[in-house]
Order: sequence, then structure tokens, then C-alpha cells
Amino acid sequence: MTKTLYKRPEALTDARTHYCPGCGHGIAHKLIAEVIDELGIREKTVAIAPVGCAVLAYNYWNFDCSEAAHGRASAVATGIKRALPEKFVFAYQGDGDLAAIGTAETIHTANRGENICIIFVNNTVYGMTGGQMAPTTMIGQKTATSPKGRDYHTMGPPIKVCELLNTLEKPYYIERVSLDSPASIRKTKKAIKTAFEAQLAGKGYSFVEILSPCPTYQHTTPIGAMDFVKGPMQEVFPVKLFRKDGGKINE
Amino acid sequence: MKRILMTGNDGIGKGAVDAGCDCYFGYPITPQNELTAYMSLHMPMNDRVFIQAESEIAAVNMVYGASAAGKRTMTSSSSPGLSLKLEGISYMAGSELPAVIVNVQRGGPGLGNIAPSQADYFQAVKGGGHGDYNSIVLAPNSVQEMYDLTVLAFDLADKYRMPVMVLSDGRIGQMMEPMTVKENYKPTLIDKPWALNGCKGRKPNKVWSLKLGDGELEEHNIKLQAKYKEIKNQEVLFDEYMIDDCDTLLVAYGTSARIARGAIDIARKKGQKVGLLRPITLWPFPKDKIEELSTKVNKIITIEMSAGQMLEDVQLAVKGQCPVEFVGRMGGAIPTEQSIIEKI
Amino acid sequence: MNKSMLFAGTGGQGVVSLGKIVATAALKDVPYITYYPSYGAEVRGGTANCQIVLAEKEIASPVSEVFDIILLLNQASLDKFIGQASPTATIIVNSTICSKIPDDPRIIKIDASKIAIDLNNPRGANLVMLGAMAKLDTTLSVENLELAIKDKFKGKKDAVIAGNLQCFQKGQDLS
Repeated sequence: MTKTLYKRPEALTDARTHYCPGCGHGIAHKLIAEVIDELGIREKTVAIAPVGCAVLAYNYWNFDCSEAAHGRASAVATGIKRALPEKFVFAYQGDGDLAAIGTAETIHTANRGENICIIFVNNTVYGMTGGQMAPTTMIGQKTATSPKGRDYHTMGPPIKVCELLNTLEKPYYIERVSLDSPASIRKTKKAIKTAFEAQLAGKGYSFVEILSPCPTYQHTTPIGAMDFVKGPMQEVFPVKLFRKDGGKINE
Repeated sequence: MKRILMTGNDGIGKGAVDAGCDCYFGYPITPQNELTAYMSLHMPMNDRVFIQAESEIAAVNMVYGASAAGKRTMTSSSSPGLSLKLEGISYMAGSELPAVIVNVQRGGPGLGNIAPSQADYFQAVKGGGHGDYNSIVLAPNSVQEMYDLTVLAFDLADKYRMPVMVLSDGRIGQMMEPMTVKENYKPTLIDKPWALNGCKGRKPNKVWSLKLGDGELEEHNIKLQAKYKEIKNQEVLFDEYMIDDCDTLLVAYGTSARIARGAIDIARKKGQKVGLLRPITLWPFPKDKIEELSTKVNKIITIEMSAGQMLEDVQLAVKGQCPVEFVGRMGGAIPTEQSIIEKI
Repeated sequence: MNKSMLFAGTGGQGVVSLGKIVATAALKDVPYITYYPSYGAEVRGGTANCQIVLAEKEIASPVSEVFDIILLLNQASLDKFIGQASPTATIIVNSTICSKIPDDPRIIKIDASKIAIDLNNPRGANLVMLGAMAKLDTTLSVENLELAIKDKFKGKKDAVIAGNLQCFQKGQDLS
């Protein structure tokens, strides 16, 4: 007799990963797939993949997926959800996509309180285009387009999206989580589940920011990237529950 | 058939509602504001979706989403806004998503003015956005056609899985004329097995235009071009006015075609043999018909509210078989009947 | 029949409403109608105008260069459009507001704003002008025009409708 202790979630395909060793996207994809299986919503899910490294997310997810133009995932998600309110709709976006070119769509979708979920993967750099400065790149961080480090005076400080969205009235749930350790990965899964359940209950807009390692463009080893996320990144982007059940907390 | 008095902009709105438009996403810009206002009232009234988006870009991407979900959907704007929508239009062409896009043109370039214009012809019929693609472009010349061609636009969009543009101008948008509507009209909807609506009982669908595999994108383009070729063979629409005996042929669309007809009526009274070929589809362009006529007439005059954009397509169709002249005004100005008569 | 009309004044004088009333009144009996307003920025402050063509045959060009009937509600409109009147045009001028009225046999002066104020309906000057037009040109019946006025003010208080119809009647009595 063999006993199954672990198997691939049904919501995940067996496609071979294209992500770099130590990348956080694979973990985030799998957590989403596990939550979708646990909630039994695979057959009613429509996901929106961003432009960025995760553009190929639809190769890994075993449910309906749409691409969106760079930054427009929130608008595409709005269109799908309004067209099919009974379906489950989430968008998966990186920091360049969501917080630079897609800032307007992000803020207005949250402000309308669309009944969708946004999974925001923040690793402080543009990955797919080759490690350029992102809106979330930290002061002093070297990238392909900030070779001497991000300069506060000419480039401004990193944008903190959870804090920004928390100024709006309608978001239902906002939390920043991290992938830096098994414990925080479990916490991340819980946050994803909270967000998904909120939509299923018709509660409105949920936003989960996931701090994620990118060894390639954080210019370190996979373990070094985990340390970067745990240390310097969380000093700027504190892991925190900003809002639950439609109300701000810790104020 | 009951006649109702409507503006052209409202006529498009009524056409969209009657055609079964499920979702409309707009953003204010003159001179198409009446249309957005019409939809803000009539879409919710019919339990359909209306959103005033945060930008033209957001609106067209909401259209992308609603279309991917299998619904009939539309957005509208005027020239500067259309420039912004080209991103979404190119993506929909690439992802093979049906949608109706309305451009109630105004004067340009830049912020230009709010007067009627036909200066977005190139943008509309030559693709406009990035990549090898075309949109079907319909050019109404009356309030009635604003309604009729909007209904047709939804059918063509679904049939060919691509964006279809209704290219109008501020004059027809603002003008009121009596029109008759399709009473108790039930649009014929086709199955969309490719739509994203949850993978219950089937394999997951995906809507995408990224084709990174070796040769994959070229193959996709070959498929798109085959579709465009079929459209060129099947869907050309034009209207003829007094062309049987004419020795001077006018070619004009939309508002310009109305003025051209006025000029013809005056010229005919003076015994001049003048006729009009009015393209209703600007893409596909009625080039075969124009080529045929070019062997029968002494000259062709193209009339436009632009510097001469359709003129180039007419010249290509004529292949040098007769002289092609041009009467046009720019920057929101409208050619007069008199200026056409002088050219005749 | 092929009548082209131009109504012009300043923003707020109700020339666009006037155009809609005439187009609505024509809907029943006139086969072809086009109505075209000036729109957008120029409505505010500058001259507002609208053009109407009524015809038996399909209207080719909705863009008129000369007009058979012109209603001019302020001096700026008079100065701008008087040159576009046909040789046999009927030109009705609001003489309360226009001080420099050329000596032209085609012009009929109506003290429209004063009459409307006297009737305690200062915004009804446009309808006084319309009444004068209805008397001088019978393309549209008084009955259809009255129905169109009622339609325009549908949902307003009875007194508002009655007040406007009174202005329209007074205009007919004058001319």
C-alpha cells in the first residue's frame, strides 16, 4: 500500500518551468493553484496574466487565462468580471506592470471596488526586459537603468502600493506578505485564500502584495535573494495586514 | 415603421443596444459625448454593463476583457482618444477578439479642435496600431446609417473575431435626422467556444497574442492575412449615385459624400454628367469597382475633410487609367458644394 | 419643398431648443429632415446656432450655405449670418436686443425679448420668434409646432408649458 502524501495540484499543469532558479513566481503560482483546488473553483476561474516574466503563467495554470497589455490587467479583469459576475476572476501582476505603466488602472479598479483579486508580485526589478529599475526599486539599489543605484533626488523613492491603496475607501482586503521562509510562504497562501474567499462572498476588491526573490536581477544567489527579501526589502515594505473585512486596521 | 428623431451619436447607442451589446466602456471626449451619456442611461436600463473608465486606454482594455469573456462589447471616442485606444485594438486583432470601436472624428493633429474631420482615415484603414493587422472600417453618412452600420459592426466583429470600427465625424454625430429602428430585433448570436468563461467540461481556453515559439508568430500572421483576404472578397460595401452615364466620378464617404451628392444635384441641372461612388466599407476598400469605373470616366475627383488620405487608395485603385483630382479641407473645415462644382 | 433654416443667438437664448422643436414638429409630415447644431466650446458665450433642412426628397448635403428662413436673436448673430440669407429669405430679428439692424426689406423686426419679459417669461423670447415664423411661413402647421413645444417641455409644470405656448401665440399675433 502506498499513501499519497503530496501531489501536484489539479489547477497546475506539468509544464516545465521557464523561471530562473530561485525565482518566487513558481512558488506564488503553486500557492494560487493549491488555493483554487481547495476552494473547488478551477472550472469557474478566469485569470489574467501580466506583461513581464509571468506573462507565461497560463502555461502553468490549468484554467482559463487571458493575457493583458502591459499594465492593463486590472482593466481586463474588470471587463471579464463585469461581463461574467458569477465567475472567479483574478489578475497576477509584477511591480513594473502594476505600479508603473498600470498605476491608473490599479488605483481606479481598487477605487471602484471591483469584486476581483489582484496578486501583486513585488521583487523590486523588471525581470523579463533585463533587470531595469522598477517603481519599487529601493534607494541605492543597482539595476540596468540605475547603474549607480536608485537616486532619491532624481528618481524618487520606491512606491508602496499597499499603503497607497489603503487611502481609498472601497478595497475590502489589503495585505503584504513575503516568500522568504516556509512560515511566510504558509502565511502567503493564507492571504491568497482570504482574498479569494472575499471575492466568492461578493465582498469586493482584494489586494495581496507578495515580496518575492529574483536572484538574477537582485544580483545574488537564491539564498541571498531570500535574505534580501527578508532583510532590506521588508525594511522598506513592511509585511503587514493593512485592511480586512473592509476596514483599515492598525490606525 | 416608426420614425424617431435622433442625433447620430444617439443612433449609434441605440444601434449598439439593439445589436445586443452587453458591455460598454467609455471616456468623455467631444464630439461623441452624447453617445457615452446615452449608454450610461440605456445600458443599465437594459441590465447591461456601463463603466465610465479612467482613460481611453482603460476603456479599450475593459472591452478586451469583456470580449474575451464572450460578450458583445463596444467603446467609443474621438480622434485624440482613438490614438490611445490603438494599443487595445492591436491586441484584440492579435488575440482575435471581436469588438466595436467608434470614432466620431474631430480636427487634428494634436488636441486640434472639436469640429468634424475625416483626418483619421489612415489610422483607421491601415491598421493604426503596431503589427500587420486591419480592422473592418464602416463609414456611415446619415443618422440612419449610424444605427444600421453599428448593428452590422457587431455581426461582422463576431463573424471574423476582430475589431470593427465605425468611422464617423462630429457633423454626423451631432446631426439629428429621422430614423427607423429595428422593432423587436433579435440579434443572431454565434457560439464562441474560445471564450473565457470557466473550463467546466472542457480544456482551459486562453486568449493571447504572445507567440514566442520558432515560426509561431509568422504562422499566426499568415492565418490573420488569410482572414483579411476573405473579408476583402466578401464584405466590400459601397453606394452608387448616378454613375451609369457619368463622365466625371466623385469618390467620397461620410459627410463629404453628402456634400458631393448636393454638388451632383446642382451639376446635373446644368447638364453635367457627374456621379458618386461612396465607399461604405473603407476597409475593405471598393478598389475593384473604382478600377472598373476608372476606365469609363474622364476623371475622378476625391472629396475629403482631410489633406487627401483616401485619395491615395483611390489612386492605387485607378492605376493611372484616368486623372484623379482632389477637393479637401483640413482642420475641421468642410468642403463646399461650390468648390466641388468648380473642380467638375 | 426644400427649406433651409438657421436659428442663431447667444448661448442660453434657446436657439438649440428652437431647432429641436422645429425638427420634432416636422417629423410627422416632412419626409426628410436634418438638424445640425453648433456644439461644444462655442456654445458658451459665443454664438450658438443650429441649421435645419426640411425636404420632400432625400437631403443630399445637410450643409447649407444659404438659408430661406433665418431667426437672429442677438447682434453678433445678425452681423455674422445676414450675408447667408437667400434673396427671398424671411429674416426675423429680435429687435429688443439688436440695435444695428440694416435697412433690408427681407427683415422683420420682432420685439421678442420685451414681449417675453412682459409675459413674465423672459426665456420665452425664442418662442415669440418661432410664433412670428409660423405666421410668415406655413411649411409647418401651428398645431404640429404646438405639439412639439409641449413635447419639449414634457414633464415640466403646466404653468411652464402654458407660458411658453403663450409666447408662441403672441409671436403669431404680431406678424
